[in-house]
Amino acid sequence: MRQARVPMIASEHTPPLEVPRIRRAGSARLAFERVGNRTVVRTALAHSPLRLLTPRNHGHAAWVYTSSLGGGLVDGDHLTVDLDVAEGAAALVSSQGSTRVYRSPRGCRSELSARVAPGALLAWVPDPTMCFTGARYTQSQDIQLAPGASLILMELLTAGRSAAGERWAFTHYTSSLRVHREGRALIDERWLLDPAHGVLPERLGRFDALGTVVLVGPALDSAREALAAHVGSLPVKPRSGLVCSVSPLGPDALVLRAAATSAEALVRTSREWLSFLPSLLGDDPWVRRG
Amino acid sequence: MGSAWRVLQLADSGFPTGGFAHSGGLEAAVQQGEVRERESLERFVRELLWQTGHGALPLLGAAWREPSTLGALDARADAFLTNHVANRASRTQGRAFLDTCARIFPGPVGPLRQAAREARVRYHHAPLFGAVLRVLDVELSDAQQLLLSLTLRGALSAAVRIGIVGTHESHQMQNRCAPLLDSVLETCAGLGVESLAQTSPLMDLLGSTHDRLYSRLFLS
Repeated sequence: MRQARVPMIASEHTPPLEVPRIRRAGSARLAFERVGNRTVVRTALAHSPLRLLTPRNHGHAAWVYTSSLGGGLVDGDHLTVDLDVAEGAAALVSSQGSTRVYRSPRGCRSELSARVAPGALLAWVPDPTMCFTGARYTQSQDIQLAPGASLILMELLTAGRSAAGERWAFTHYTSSLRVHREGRALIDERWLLDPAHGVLPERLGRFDALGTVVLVGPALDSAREALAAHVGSLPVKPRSGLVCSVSPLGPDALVLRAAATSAEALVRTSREWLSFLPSLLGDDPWVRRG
Repeated sequence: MGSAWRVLQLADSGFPTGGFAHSGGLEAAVQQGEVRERESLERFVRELLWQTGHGALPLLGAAWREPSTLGALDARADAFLTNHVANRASRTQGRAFLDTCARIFPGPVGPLRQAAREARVRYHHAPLFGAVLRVLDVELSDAQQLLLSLTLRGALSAAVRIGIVGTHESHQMQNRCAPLLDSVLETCAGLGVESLAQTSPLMDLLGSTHDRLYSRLFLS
């Protein structure tokens, strides 16, 4: 059964009613395997507050959607996802709605550790993360790619409850991304957004959303070529509502980045970039399910 | 005491390392309308200095403490600088800095340059800067101060050439940045490579569009 996915809307931003008093440590273990022409979810185990949904689809890839109980991360939450995509398998992991991080003086953490085997594909494409007033959020994503493995990784960060005038009001945000291949680091970066370096809403100016898309490996050769040509030839205009860039990382990897004046514009752009996904997976993960 | 004279020599704008071909992302930020006048230039410079503190000083420090790890630190810098414009600028400036120093101080820097070649490094600037200043017997704190000061001056001199501020105004601004330089140094001087961070993803993004600008005065 397909699950309804709820797009980011302002009315959703009410904190959970029952705020747990204890730290919640949610962990999930996922393993994907190829059986015949299809990929199956071999293991999908999750401990609260993390939950996993495995909707069927018409393609050859297996899809998993994560969600967290209570609709977001509250103070002290620590989520970990451990994931394997076996040889020749194709997996899409997304989230059921945005990841909302609430006020969290003790901090919230989220960690991904993934291994992608030869000839396999991982599409890690969650909805945006939004950190609310007083949120302290630390995220790390570690991906080990075997030779011939492919990766689509999307990361979107939005300003928070912009409609209510709450923009970039968190107290700390760190996100590290490491992509290793055969023991060598292809990407090893960390974003650190902290008001200690200046008032964040001023520093981010008119922009309400920042995003990154990473494409690595042979399954994405033609997508990379098309995107490098398209984004690489966009004119640079003053005060544009959308700023995009594309940087090649060696012969078979690409990083796309964007800043947008609205979360919707960023989501739209990132989906345009990933418009090859339905044909790659054999089904469209972005269509509204219900 | 000999090293104090060297620091002054390295800080001299006449020291031929080609740094003036780079704007540190300023030219792209200006053409995108994000930097227009003094206030926004001050904000840009503040972003740039914190970014240097978190994104370059840890590599500089690690290379200064252990110049033999240059190869690993160079690879770390390469994986950290995913923005191709910043990555290329780091390699261009690192190579120019090493070559110039090897010519001017062949005794101490020549062997380092040879070792860097043999390690097949990509010549990223921050780790090379630390390693070169170590073999030149410059104290770590002086090396850190020098990098921050050169970064600030580079951006402000680019601002003068782009025409956002005049020469005197840019130096007044440089002077006003002293407390900020102190804060960056205090916060970042002790950071290890595990703390490397990009504190200004928006400025990084703006700078990464450099190659697509309609006209360009600078290489980055």
